[in-house]
Amino acid sequence: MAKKILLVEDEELVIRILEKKLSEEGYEVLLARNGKEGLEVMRKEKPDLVLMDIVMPKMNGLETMEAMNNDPELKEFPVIVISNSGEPVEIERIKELGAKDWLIKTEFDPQEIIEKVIEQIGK
Amino acid sequence: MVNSPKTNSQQETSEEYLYDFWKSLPFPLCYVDPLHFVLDINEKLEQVFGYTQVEIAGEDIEKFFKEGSSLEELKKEILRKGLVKKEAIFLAKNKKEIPVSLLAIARKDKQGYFNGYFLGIDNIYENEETYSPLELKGQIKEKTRELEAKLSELKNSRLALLNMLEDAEESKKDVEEERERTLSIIANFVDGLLNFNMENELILINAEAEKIFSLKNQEVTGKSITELAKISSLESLIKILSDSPKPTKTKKIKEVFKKELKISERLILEVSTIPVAREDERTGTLVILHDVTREKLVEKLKTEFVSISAHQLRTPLSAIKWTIKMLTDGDLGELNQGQKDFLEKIYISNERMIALINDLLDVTRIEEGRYVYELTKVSFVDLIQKMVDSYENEFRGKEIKFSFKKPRTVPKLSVDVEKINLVFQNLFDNALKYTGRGGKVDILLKHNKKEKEIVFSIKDTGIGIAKDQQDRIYTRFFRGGNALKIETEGSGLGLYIAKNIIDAHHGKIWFESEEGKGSTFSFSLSLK
Repeated sequence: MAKKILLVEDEELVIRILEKKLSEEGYEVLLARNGKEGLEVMRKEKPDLVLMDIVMPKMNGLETMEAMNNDPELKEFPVIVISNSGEPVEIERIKELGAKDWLIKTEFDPQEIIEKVIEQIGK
Repeated sequence: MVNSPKTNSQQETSEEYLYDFWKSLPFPLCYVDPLHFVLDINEKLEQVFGYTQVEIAGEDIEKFFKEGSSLEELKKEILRKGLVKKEAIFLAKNKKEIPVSLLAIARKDKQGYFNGYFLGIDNIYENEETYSPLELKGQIKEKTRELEAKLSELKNSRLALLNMLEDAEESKKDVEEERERTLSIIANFVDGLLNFNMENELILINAEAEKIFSLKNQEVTGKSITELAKISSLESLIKILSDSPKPTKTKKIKEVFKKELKISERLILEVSTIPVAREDERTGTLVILHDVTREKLVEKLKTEFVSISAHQLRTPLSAIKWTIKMLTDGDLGELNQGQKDFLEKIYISNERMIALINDLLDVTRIEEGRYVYELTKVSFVDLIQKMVDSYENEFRGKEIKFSFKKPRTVPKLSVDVEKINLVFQNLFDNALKYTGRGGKVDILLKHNKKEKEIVFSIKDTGIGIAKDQQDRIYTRFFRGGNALKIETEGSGLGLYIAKNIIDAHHGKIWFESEEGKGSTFSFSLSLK
């Protein structure tokens, strides 16, 4: 069975690119447009990996990760943060919240992101 | 401060003028001090009575008059009246007794104290050696005429003397006015001002400074810096001025330029000191407190604005980056070579834009003081070698000869690797960008054992920096005039960032450059 990846992201272009790339690699891609939606999908679908954006409406990535940490059911899902920022303060916080990895969008190509995913959960 | 150079020279000229004037007055005149000793005589007195200046100066004036002359009275009255006229018998050098009329005019100093007097001594029978009874009548007539003439001369001389005194009064007034003016400037100055003398005692504080530290003039003036350090509101200022919480009388007040002093969230000052000198002699220090609260607020808002917009810009830029990458990778169908070439060019432009925004963000981090430093011990040789390797192709592409010279062993340094790499990158970028085809770039690493420091330098044969622009080279957004002509790309932030990083590592960065010949940029970091 294909591994499930939840993409929590609000930027349309990014969604389309990652969705295409990931499904080509044989993953099943689940979508959420903000943190709130993300938490719901997590509970229902139990993904193998979460790709988390930071700046999003309603509930941002950091808040979502805090909520995950406070919920034993969600705590164990591995998270890779994909962010636009790269502020040292933010990166510190991301590490504290237990993300497996983090990457700054402007510094990576989509292919490299796929490699990070494979590194975490395999094909 | 109070005696401006202008008033001094005015005063000097008028004093010199007065001296020449009285020396050459056409009637005998001497100047007597408050204890009635003669200080000086003029030329006419020497001529008429035969004494030289040396013989008469320093003697009691009474000595030159016949006993019982009215000199006693004159001495008493001059103090009280200020102007005294008398008749007396003067004893000339040749022992002759000459009847004279005396006119004494008192002088006062700036504080109004009696300072001696001018004494006019007029020979009533000048030129009269002998006279016969026959000629007496005619002589008397003539004498009367002469006396009348003398009288008017005396009147004139009195006038002249009064004028002289008036001149002296006037320059004194000038000086006082100047002092008043200076004091009112200090009192009403918009910046806070504190004046210390050479003993580090506060001699003056203006209203603005009183307001800043919420204290009163009387509480602090006359106190030494040691005592002032105990006043809580002044503590932080004194720390800046003396570099220690316990300042001493003898330790000189530090020279400070635009040092920030935060009194509260709503009051931020810039402290500067300037030496105060009077006629080339240092008399103290003036401390200037300039309110920069508004500037700092504007600066902060601007930094925040840049930071937010730069972050916002990154979102669409990363979307563009990814899309182009997908297209060129053929993820969305095969492209022909022409299409691929164009997309690759767009990709490079987009990467440049991302780099520019990263520069902007680095600057805002520097300005917000959020430029965190994680120190790790590294080998500079390795760092530079990696840099050289990554630039090798680009140097070759421009046929630039390059070398990297280093000592056999170099001790490791504690630095923030990411940030130091940024410095190398900026310096390498500049050398590459501004050195023409076929040029030369020499990289040198030195271990200065004596100073316990590592010195890095990169020398190019590029366009160089014009002399008149060299002092602006580390300014944000500044780009050399010649640099703009050959390379339009560039944020003008690279060297600003580099300098800030080196400063934060307590290092030094400098350069030598000649327009058209090339530049050498160097920095040193301490091993201590």
